[in-house]
Amino acid sequence: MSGGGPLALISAGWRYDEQRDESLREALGEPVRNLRLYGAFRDIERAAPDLVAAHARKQAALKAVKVLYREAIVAALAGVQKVGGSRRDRACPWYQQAIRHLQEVDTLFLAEADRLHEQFAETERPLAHPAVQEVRAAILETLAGCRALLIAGGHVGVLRNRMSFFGLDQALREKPIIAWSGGAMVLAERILLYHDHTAHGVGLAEYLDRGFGLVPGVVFLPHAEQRLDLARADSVGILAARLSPFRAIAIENGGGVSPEGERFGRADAVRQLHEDGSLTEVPATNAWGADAARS
Amino acid sequence: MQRVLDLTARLERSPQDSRRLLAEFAAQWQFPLMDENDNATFFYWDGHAADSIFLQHWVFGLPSRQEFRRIGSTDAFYLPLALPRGARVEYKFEVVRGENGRWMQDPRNARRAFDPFGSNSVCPAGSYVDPEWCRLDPNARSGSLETHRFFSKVWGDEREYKIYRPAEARPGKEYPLLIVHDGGEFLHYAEMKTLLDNLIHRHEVAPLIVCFTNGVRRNWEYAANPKQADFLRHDLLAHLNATQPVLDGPQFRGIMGASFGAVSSLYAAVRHPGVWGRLLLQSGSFAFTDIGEHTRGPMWDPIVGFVNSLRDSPPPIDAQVYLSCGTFESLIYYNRSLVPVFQRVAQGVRFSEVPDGHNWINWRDRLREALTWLFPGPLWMYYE
Repeated sequence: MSGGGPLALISAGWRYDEQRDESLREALGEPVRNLRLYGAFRDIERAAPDLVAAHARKQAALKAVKVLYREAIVAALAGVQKVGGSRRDRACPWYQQAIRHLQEVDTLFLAEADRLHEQFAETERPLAHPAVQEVRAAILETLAGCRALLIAGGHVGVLRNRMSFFGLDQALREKPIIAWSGGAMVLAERILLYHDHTAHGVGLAEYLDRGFGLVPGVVFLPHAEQRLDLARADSVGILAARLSPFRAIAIENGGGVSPEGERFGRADAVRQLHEDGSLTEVPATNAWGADAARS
Repeated sequence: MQRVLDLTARLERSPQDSRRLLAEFAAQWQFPLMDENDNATFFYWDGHAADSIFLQHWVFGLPSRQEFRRIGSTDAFYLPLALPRGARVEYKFEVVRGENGRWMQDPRNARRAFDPFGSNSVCPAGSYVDPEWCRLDPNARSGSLETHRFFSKVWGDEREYKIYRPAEARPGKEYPLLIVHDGGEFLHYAEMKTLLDNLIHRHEVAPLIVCFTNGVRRNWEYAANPKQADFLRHDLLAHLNATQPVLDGPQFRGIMGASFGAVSSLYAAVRHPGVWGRLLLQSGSFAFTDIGEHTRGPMWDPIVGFVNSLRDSPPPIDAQVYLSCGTFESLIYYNRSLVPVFQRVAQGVRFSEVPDGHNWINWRDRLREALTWLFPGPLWMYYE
């Protein structure tokens, strides 16, 4: 990150705590400009209530689709487990078909989400709204004066939605970015939600939405050790197969990876999940391999 | 147990040193003694002569008063007791001297559980874990707790309640609502504010508005009383809808209670279907009869009538139901019997039974599992 200028920060995933970034500023020891996307959206709530109401209707419709999506996952995953179980034979055509069905369920949900987002963009044209234009211009101006962009984690749904609402897709491609946790998730092509250790049992992984696609062919799984039962080869294998051809990349604290496939930090902090249930450390260079998956 | 046998052997070898040996033994160990198989050995010695010692407990299925054995010819006593894994037993000692029996907490065990009647000593099996999510977490932001009063048309008097608002509460934002029977006790004995702060902070439970209410003639009001159900629906809920930022819709409305409070919660859901979409029922006093009369006293008559009717012809229950009961409770049979009923007519049921009794710590310990299921927080969405 050579060159002058401060660092820009997106911490919308922290929601109400978006601007409580003192400890980050202190750790960096450099000037930081918080882009305040969460607060900016609240400004829009006041300035353009009709637009925000339409946005809320779109989100509610997405939520309704999600209810059906979850039901479909339960059924599809039950099929995978029934024909596969713990003695899974990956070559078994019934197992492969069950995985394909699970993938189709995911694909259908993402297509439904796309449709709702596009419908909203076409009918409401949020980026053409004067209130949004004004706020967005200020965000982009601040960003333009910064030498790099930091994207923190937090509530990944809020983070993705705010970044998307303000149309930051192109701007993201013009700056060096350092993103972590949920911040890294939104930069991949797809965003998967997962947690095997909730207080009331194992949660079923589901897609939140598409990401911004800056890191193609990958689904990031931050804090996988804490959130996934990585010791269970069958569930690791099913997840890897489900996400295929995207690479399921588990990232722990102390490790990271660049879009070009350079791994940094601890070797065991960046691992790929495989369909045979194993995990392998991602190499220091050429992390995605020659056959990097594409959507 | 082995430690007591070793002590007995030493006492037999050196009876003249019994006082010193007992004092050393008492100072050396934490009581009750526990082994790796969750066998407990209770011990009593106060240096004075006693005729007999009894263990008083509330474990259904065991004799509620068990006599200690004397150690040799000393004034010390012990009692071995095998506990189920993960069990937690509340107890007292009864020390008998002559005609007088005196109940007391175990003087060599500092662990206590409190309830409106005082406190009991606690014997947690080695595998019991006191949940860390109940402890004050300095990082968890504190929600607010305010006391309010309003006039109830149903009861014809003024009622007091407390409102918990999550720390993140902001103007214009609405939250799900949970109404808690015996609210004062849940706050005091089950540390409910602390655990709400913690679980909401950790994103495990959705930010909630929680109304802590208490009965006035509690047992009568909570015993499947139509007036209580109407109070909850027409008075309290209507009042809260008008005064608190609560979301509309049964899926955003919960009602909970323990013991008779669980009865009142279930009865409210049956009497006003479609209003309460989340039920949290702990150690419900769901007594019923298959034949003949019940023997629990007239206070239970309306409950038995209600539960008998529910079992005979269960109506649809438009709610997710979380049900829990301790296996040391006499109520476990009734609660287990309701599970298949809920499986048929409710919109989902979870049943949890644990080796514990009819007490506040049992109810506290189940709240994380219950609340994360009934009002799941956005933990799923947080990656930080």
